[in-house]
Amino acid sequence: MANNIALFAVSYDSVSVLREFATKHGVRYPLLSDEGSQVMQSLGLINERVQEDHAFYGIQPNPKHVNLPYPGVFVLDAAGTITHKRFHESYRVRDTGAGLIAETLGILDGGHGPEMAADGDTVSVRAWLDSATYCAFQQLHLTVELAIAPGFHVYGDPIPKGYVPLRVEVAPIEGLELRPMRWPSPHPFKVEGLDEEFPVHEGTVRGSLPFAFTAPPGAGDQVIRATVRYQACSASTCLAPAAVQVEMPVREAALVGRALPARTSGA
Amino acid sequence: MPLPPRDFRTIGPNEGEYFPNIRLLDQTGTPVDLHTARAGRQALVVFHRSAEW
Repeated sequence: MANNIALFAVSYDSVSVLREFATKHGVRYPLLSDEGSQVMQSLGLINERVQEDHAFYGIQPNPKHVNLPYPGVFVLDAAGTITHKRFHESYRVRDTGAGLIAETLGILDGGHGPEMAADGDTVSVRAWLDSATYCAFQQLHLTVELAIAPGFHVYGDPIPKGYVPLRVEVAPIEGLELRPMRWPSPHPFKVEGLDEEFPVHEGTVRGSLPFAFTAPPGAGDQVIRATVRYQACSASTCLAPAAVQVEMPVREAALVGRALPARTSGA
Repeated sequence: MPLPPRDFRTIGPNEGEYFPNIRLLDQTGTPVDLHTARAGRQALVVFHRSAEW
């Protein structure tokens, strides 16, 4: 795997099921067979409430739905210590590989999806998606990075009235679910002669917005359109508030082993 | 009625702990000892539902 990270996937499937899956999809990392779910049991990962949950989600009872783990991932450091643990309630929610690696291991050069850049004299904006494709319910990230000229800053939150804080607004799309944008904490900046302190970002600031398309499979390719708003100021001057538009296409992909339903409309 | 939310921090081993060693057969039928196979590398250990359905 890229960046010399070991990857292991564990399920309750038999070796022969895993062999068939690996052959069909060209999987080269270890798919580990925990037939009987004893290891998952000993780790405390079994979802004891899966039948109840499935009833809630409208899934019919199925004898295969026993001894299933919660879907999720452990991230281990080089010493084998757990640095991150991410589990999801729903089996439909998945992280993208690149998104997970970027977020948990801090690796951002592992290749990512579509990218856009807008260079300005004072502030340059770059934005990218962590994947060029999405599956229904998969969690993707829109990353926005501002490179701010030395001596200048942009405002974070909370900000006194009259100033424009750094914001990313994503145009609504049916089925698009946005989670809160995460920025690093701003630091206080004091303007000489004023009592107030302002929360500001300086240098390079990078924020990440998790999102998912929750429409049923077959919703089709999408374009994420976002507006990045900020106001750049120095100790002595404030530039006019700016708005940078970014647009990134993201193609719908089928879940592994599944086909997308045929499109019924000409959208 | 909506299901009560779960605290996923309480599921499985915790952050900051050594991941318990596990030893399972891989898709070729070869025993894989997780920490040995990791060979000092960082690792992602993914738990997922069946590959069959």
